[in-house]
Amino acid sequence: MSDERSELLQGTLEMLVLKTLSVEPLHGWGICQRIGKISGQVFLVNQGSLYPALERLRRRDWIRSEWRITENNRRARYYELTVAGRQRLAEERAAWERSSAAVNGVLAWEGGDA
Amino acid sequence: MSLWSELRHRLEALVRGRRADRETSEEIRFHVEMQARLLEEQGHSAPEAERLARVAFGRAAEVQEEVREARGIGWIDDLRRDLSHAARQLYRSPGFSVVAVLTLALGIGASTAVFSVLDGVLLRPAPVPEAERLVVVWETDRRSGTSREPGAWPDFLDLSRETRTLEAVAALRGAVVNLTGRAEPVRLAGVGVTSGYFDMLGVGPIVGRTFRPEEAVAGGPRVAVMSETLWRTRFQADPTVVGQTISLDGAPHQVVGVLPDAADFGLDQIHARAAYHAGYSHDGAIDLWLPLQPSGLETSRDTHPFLMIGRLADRGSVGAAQAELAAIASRLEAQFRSNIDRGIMVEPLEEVVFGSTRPMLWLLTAAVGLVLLVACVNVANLLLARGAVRAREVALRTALGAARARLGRQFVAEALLLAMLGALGGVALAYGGLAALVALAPGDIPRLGEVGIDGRVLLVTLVVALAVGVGFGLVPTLQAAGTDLTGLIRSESRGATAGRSRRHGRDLLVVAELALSVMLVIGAALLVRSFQTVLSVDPGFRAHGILKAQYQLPPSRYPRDFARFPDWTEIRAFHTGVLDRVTRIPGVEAAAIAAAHPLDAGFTNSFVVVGREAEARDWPEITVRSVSAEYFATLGVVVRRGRGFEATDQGRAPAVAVINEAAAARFFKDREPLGQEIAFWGMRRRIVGVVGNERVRGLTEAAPPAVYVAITQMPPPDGVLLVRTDAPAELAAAVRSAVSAGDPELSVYGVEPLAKTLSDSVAQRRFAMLVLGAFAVIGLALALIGVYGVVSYTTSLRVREFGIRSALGAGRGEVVSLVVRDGARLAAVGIGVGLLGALAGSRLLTSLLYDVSPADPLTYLLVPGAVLVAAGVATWVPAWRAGRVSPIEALRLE
Repeated sequence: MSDERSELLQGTLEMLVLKTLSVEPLHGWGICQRIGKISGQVFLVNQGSLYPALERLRRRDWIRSEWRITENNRRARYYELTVAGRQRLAEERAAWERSSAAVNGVLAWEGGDA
Repeated sequence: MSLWSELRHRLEALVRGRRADRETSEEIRFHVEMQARLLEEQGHSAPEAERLARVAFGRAAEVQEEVREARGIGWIDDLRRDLSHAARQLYRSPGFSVVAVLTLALGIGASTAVFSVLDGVLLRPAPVPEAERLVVVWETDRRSGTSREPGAWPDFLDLSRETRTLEAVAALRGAVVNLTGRAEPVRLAGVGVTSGYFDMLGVGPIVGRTFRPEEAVAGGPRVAVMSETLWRTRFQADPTVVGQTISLDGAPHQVVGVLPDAADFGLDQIHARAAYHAGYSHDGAIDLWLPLQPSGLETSRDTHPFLMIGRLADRGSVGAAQAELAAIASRLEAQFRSNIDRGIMVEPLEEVVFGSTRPMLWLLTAAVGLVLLVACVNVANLLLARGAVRAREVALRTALGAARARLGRQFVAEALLLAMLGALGGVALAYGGLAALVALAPGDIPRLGEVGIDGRVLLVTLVVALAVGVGFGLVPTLQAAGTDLTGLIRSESRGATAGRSRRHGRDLLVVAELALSVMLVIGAALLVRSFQTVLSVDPGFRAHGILKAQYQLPPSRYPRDFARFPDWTEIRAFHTGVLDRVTRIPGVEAAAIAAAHPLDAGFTNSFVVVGREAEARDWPEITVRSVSAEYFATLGVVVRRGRGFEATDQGRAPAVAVINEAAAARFFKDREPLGQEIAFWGMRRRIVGVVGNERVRGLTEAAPPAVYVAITQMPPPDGVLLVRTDAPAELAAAVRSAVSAGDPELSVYGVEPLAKTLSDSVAQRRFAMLVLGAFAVIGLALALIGVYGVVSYTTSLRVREFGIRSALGAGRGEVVSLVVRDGARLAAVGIGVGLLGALAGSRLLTSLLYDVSPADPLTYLLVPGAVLVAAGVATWVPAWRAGRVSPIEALRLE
């Protein structure tokens, strides 16, 4: 199973976090679980890098945090997307789509002039 | 990101730093718990699940640190981190840190203390407007060769009326007064001034007023102005003191004002510098101001009791004033017989007051500068050696991605921390050192009371520490910047070949340290030699086992009717009574009374030897000393020929005199003095004896020609009681009350062993010697530590070389001598340079040396020898250690 997992590209983690939060506010552990689940356990978030990433996003005002009570009656810090964060997600998504289309184009190339 | 949000985050991070940390750890805890719960659901046991969750998370502390970094706390946090890193680094090498901090503390402490003195005494502006325009106008006497005499009253009047180069001139005369009618009589240093004095100085009263012109005249009213210090210490700064009446020498005086201490610009010091005068204040400051009311004999052109102080006219110069006043003086000389041979010398006031102190203070400053330099060189040296060791660390960390700037910042933080710790220790040392300096300092340093460690001084210390810190912090950074990283990491033979230029740098520092400390030690040694010479001088009297007590009989109750002289019965009776009572005190072996104690030059007078009047016109004045019959025996002054005074030399008996050997040599070269008659004050006295010379002008000055007269035949209003006893200290109270018993209104002062008076008379020399000596010891110790440090460092770099050498058959002795030779070379160069520096610099010392040349061969021979031996020991220790390393051990090291 491990050979099917991928290292997250630098910068990709932040995009995935923004995407995850664009659906609903989550705490850190929830973000990990969600990304793992949605990516079919391909991307396993290194927990040690998640929290510094969250702090960086927060510092740029793309997300904000709030302490809330979970359904299990535990105090947890929930993160949610800000307007600036939503905008940023759109930009990153566009950039990602452009570059992945380009990569796909290159990979699909089978000789001859493109 | 907007500037605003950046700022907000930083502020928030700053304010909330600690809370944010707590929140992050709570968040991490929550995460691990959730993970564990998930694992438990997947079938792990509870403890196992928790363990796995923990492992999966990784190190919480590192995550926390990264979050903190992401939070971007900014420079304050960086600084905190750098400082705590620096503190850890310093803690890890305690030897280095302790030596460096102590070195800096010594350097900074000593320089702070000396700077405080320099600042308080010389640098701080005088509390008087345009003090540089104030001058002392002295009279000179070509006949006796004196250049700093006070002036005669008529001369003062003529000068002040005619001068154009001086804006104003004031006359003043010191007087000791007893403040009576209060608890215990207090002896005050008073000074009588003409009414223009305060305006000329530019100083106004704090309360009340100064004197009116009609008060400063003969027969004027009894008014007084007190100094701020007296007002605060004895009158609780009560403003209603103005208008009150105080009793001075038993006479009522009305207080009309209080003057700031600035009104006294070293007047006691000026008195001390004047010919035939001495300082008379117990603490160098004036307590009381009186209007000058010259009358009777005082106003004759023959007597010269008045100091004259003037203010140069706008844009005037000392030279112009000198020329103008000298011209007036020569006109007076032509006009009056009494002014023959009398001239004028104009001297800047600051020169008179600080002249004798200045060379010593600059010497101290120069010496402390050398100490600070040695300390800095030493720390630089330590840092260099350490920097070389750490070059590998730097290279490694740079290779691992540490930013150079960040590394540089850390080194600066380390050096700053060192410097700040050093400065802190230094300021603590400075407080102690300053107290010691002030306690040791001779009493005649003006303004010493104002000396203290204030904001200015601390600011200078801070700047020095910052400069030292940043300067030294850059050393390893620059060193690291110049290193070839890969080469350094790969290189196994560190230093042995690579560090040649750096080694030269260190060698240079060692040479500099040694040179500086040799200069200090030579200076100190010269002063010690000079002081020994001074102490070995025979003063001509015995000081040991003598107790001194002084009193002054005020004219109000002890009239001095010149028509009846010498039948001043009240004065005579008082002295006799004191002697009577004192000799009855158990433990008193002998007692005598004199007009001046043996270290007080007293006064001089012109005189003739009867029958040689024409010759006498070219003679200098003679020192006149009035002593009781027991004086010579009590003080161990040797009677060389004839006799001393006897009880029969009473007031009505034939007047007699005793001269000292200096007078016999000067005035009776090939003649018989005994039986000759000496005349002054219109009285003839027959010379009945010749006594040995007493060094009344101090140990370092030859005894002046002197004539002694019997106290009964010249009763002095000033009395010095000299009591011989085994226990001078214990009898003080009894002796004091033996004087007071005759007149409870009198203040008895100067009660101290004569040995102390003698010792105080060389206080300035002792002070300079002790301080320079201490600096020399510190400097030399630092330099030796430097030599030791550098030699052991370079030796440690060459361990492998030594191993190879001894593997190839070199004996231990050869290895040792190899190292010692290197050290000796450095020492020799350093000492050589130091000798040259000392030869050039010791001229600074000339005025402080007695009977020792600044180029004293013995000193220049012994000091380098001693320093060489000390440096040899400092070198030999690491060398000996190097020799003990076995070849196998040495080769295995790398």
